[in-house]
Parts: sequence; C-alpha cells; structure tokens
Amino acid sequence: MRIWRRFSYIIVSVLLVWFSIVIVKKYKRLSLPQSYNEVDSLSLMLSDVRTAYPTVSTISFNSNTDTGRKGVLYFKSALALAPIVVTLDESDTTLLLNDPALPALPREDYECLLSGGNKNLNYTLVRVKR
Amino acid sequence: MLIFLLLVVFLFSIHFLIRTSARLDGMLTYPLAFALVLAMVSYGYYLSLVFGIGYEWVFAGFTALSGLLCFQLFKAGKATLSLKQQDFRDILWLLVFALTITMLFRARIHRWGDWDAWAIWNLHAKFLADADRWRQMFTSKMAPTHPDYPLMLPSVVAFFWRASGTVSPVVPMLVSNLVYVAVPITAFLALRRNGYLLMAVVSVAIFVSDHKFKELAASQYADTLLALFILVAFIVYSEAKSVGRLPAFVLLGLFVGSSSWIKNEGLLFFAVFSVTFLFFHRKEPARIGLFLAGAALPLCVLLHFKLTLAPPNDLIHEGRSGSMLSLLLQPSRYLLIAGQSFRMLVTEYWVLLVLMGGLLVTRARWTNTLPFWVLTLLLAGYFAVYLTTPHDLDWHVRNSVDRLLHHVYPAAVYLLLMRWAGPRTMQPSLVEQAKDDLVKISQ
Repeated sequence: MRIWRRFSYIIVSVLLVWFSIVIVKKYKRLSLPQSYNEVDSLSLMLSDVRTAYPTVSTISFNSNTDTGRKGVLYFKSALALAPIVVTLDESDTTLLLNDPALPALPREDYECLLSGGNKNLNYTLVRVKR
Repeated sequence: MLIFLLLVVFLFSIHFLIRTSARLDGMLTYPLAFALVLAMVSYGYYLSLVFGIGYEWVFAGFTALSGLLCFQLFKAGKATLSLKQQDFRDILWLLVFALTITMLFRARIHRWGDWDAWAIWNLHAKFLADADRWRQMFTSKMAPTHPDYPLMLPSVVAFFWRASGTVSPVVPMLVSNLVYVAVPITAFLALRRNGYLLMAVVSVAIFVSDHKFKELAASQYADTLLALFILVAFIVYSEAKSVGRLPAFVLLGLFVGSSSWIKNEGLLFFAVFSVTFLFFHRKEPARIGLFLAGAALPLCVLLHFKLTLAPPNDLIHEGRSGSMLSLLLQPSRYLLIAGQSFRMLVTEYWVLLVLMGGLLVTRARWTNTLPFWVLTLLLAGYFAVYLTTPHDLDWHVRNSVDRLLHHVYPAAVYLLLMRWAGPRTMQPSLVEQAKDDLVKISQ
C-alpha cells in the first residue's frame, strides 16, 4: 500500500512539473514578438509620440478608415498612448491614423509635429496652425 | 518575484484567518482567500492612489499586514509552519487540479484580450499604473471607454504592472487565467465539502467543457471575476447560515460588497442581495449588523469613486425621464429581450435549462430560498435595464446578454447541483456553536 502511495506521489509530481513547463512555455511564447497583435504594433508605432510629447494631456483622434475600423483604431490608440487622453472630441493636437491604401485626410490647417508608420498604417501628429 | 512571495504569504495568512475566525475549514478557504486577496490588493492600491501614497508603502503595508496576521495566528496557536501530511496532500492535489484546468484553457489565452479588454479594462489599468496622471481617465472626453466602471480588475492589473515595472500583457492574461481556474475549483470544493462528490465532479466537467464560459473567461473582461464573487457569496452564505460562526457574515458582507467594486452589474447584485438578506434575516439583527459591517469597506471605496471621480453612467444619466414611460409601454421591447435571452439560454447556457428541468422532475423545493430570490430579482433588474436602455435595444441585448448570464452561471450551476443532491446535512456541534455565538452577540 505504501509503495502505491509513493508511486502515486511520484506520478503526481511528474505531472505537476510537466504541466508547469508546458504552461510557462505557453506564457513565454505569448510574450515574444511573434505573438504580437495590432495593439502591440500600434504601441510600437506610437512610442515616439509617448516619448516626445509625454506632457501633452489630450490628443484628439481621427482616421481615414470607415467608422467601424476607426472605432477599433481609436480604442487601440487610446490604450497605446495612455495615460495621455485620446479623445474623439476636438483638441489642439490631433493624431491622424491613415490607411495608406485609402485617400489621406486633409491637413492644410495643421502643422506636422511628428510622423511615422508601419507596413499597415501610418500616423501623423498635427497641431492647428497658429 | 518578491511581491509574488509576499502575496503567497498574504494568501496563506488570510486562509488561516478565514479558517479560524469564520470556522470555514477545509480546502474551500484557499479559493475564498484568493478572492479576498484580489479584493484587498485592489482596495489597497486604489486607496494608495487616492491618498498619494507611494507604491513602496503599499508594498510595506501588505508586508506588515501579512506579518501581523501570521504573528497573531502563530501566537494563538491557530497556524503552524509544519504541514500535516493531509494538508500537504490537499495542496498537491489542488495544484494538480489548477494546472490541469489551465492546460485545458491555455489555447484560448491571447494578448490584450477581446474588445472590452483593450477598450476598457486594460486601458483603465494603464491609467491606474501611472500614479501621477491616473485621474486624467475620469473625464467626459474618455466617455466611450466608460470611465465610470468600477476598478477592481484594473487596479489589480495596475498593481502587478507597477510590481513588475512594465506594462506587460502577461499580467492581465495571468489574472484572467487564475480567475477562470478559481471558478471550477471553488464550486468543486464547496460541493465536495457538503459530501456531494459526484455533483462536484459534474460541476468541474461543466465549466471545463463549456466553450462559451472559457471564451468569456479568456476575453480578460471583468465578467468572470464578478461571476466568481457571486458564486463565492452564495457559498459563504450557505456556510455562514448553516455551520459557520457569526464572523462568517462579515466575510459574506465583504464578498457581496466587493462585487459592486467589479462592475456596475455587481452594484445591482449587492443591492438585490442586501435587500433579500435583510428580508430573510429581519429577526436576526446580529447577522444583519455583521453583514453590513463586512460590506462597509467596499461600499466606502465605491461611494468615494462614484461621488468624486466617476462621470455619470450612460444608461442612467441620460436626462430622459419623459421618454422612459414610452419605452416601458412598448410590448415589442419585452418580446425582443425575452426572445434574445431565451435564444442565448438555449444555445449557450442549456446546461442551466437541463438542471432546472431536473429540479422540476425531482420536485425539489427552491423558490422559498434566498438564492432563488436574489437570482430572480437580479435577472429582473437586468431586464429592467434593457427596457430603459438609451441605446439601440437589439444591439444592446445582442452584445451583452451572454455576459449577463455568465455572471450568474457558476452560482446557478452550484446552487442547482446542491438542490439536485438533496438537503444539506448539518453538523450538530457546529449548529450549537453558531447558536452560542448568536446568543453572545445579542447579549
């Protein structure tokens, strides 16, 4: 009986170690760049905004995409730039996210502060001309 | 790593505290302690932000609290460092159990979660992780991200982000993983504690095989956390009422009150539970007093948040009292809500229908109990919110009815399985002890 108990402890311990390794590996894989999604790519793309304008408290948001996609990009940009407030209301400084395949938003009344992009999107941080 | 070790110590000290003060012995105290640690971390972190206390002091506070609890418990001889063989075996099984459930869940875990996770919960957490600028979140400019939502989940995530020194998506993934695992474990241990081993196994099978439950748990929304607290509230109520000592009612108040700090729906749960509790125990002022004492801390924190920081809620503060009546008088709205809810029940939550059908067959009585009335009134409350919603009703119901049912799902499964298994057998000695406590408090 005692031998069986010991044997069951060994089996359980082996299971514990095996499961732990598999789960840790899963989390490790999720933290690697190959698991990155759009939130991460936006976060990387907008990192310059975060470092160059950390004191700007509010940035308004606009995009040349359709309404549904604009909503998605707004929330993801808000997460990427927080604790900067990203709003859909008017503001002095505006973040324009453009899909290069679509016509760009007009920006004659604005001066460009910063711009950049990745293979799917590009961004321009603009301010109303004074 | 240090914070992780500290929280393990904190968890064990809370576990011993629950075990000794509320007389909730056995393994069930581990998931209860886990839920309580989450709540305490959240309150501690939120209050540190409100009062401008540095993170290192929060850390020191938890260390001191754990140390004090351990010291008191060791001094009183109620806790010991040497594990008995039974304890060791129990903890080992619990670990294997938790890891097995995680293995079945791991394929669904993904970075940043689903829509509401990155649009609301993780976004709020990112604000809270910045001790200097966290108040910027509470502005009408952020209205689409619902800054009026309670902050338990975001503050827990922010606490660990501050601990790790980086805003990593691993933290919300881990939190959602742990919360998911806690649900079947809690239901299993509660049912097994009552001697219903078969029902305990059935409950685990339900939660582990239910793809909708896993999908919502992996979404990193606060809904599963609320579901856990609702489940825990009913379990603690059952224990407190039958075999627990009076301090268990403080614990009950704490859990029920804390549900209001998770989501606005939790606030409705708190209101409904409290009113029903007051009604069912109207002749027992000691129990009512202790319940309210337990709910005091969560309520104070919530009131501070709602009165000083949170902007108005979009479902309530629309200034449309005149149009409310016309909404209530449209039969098509009732039909739409009932139809969508029933469709969701049949397609995703059919287990509940099967279990309820079983109750009808076995003719088990349930309607005269507190849990039945709480769940019924809660669902009625959800119905009323839908009826008066300022949003497009079809869109609103379609996008949220699954999550509303998710809130009550674990608790309903647990309660229905308890009823299926038959009446609970009380241990006479513990009933006597509870009566003694009641007499002492009354005096």
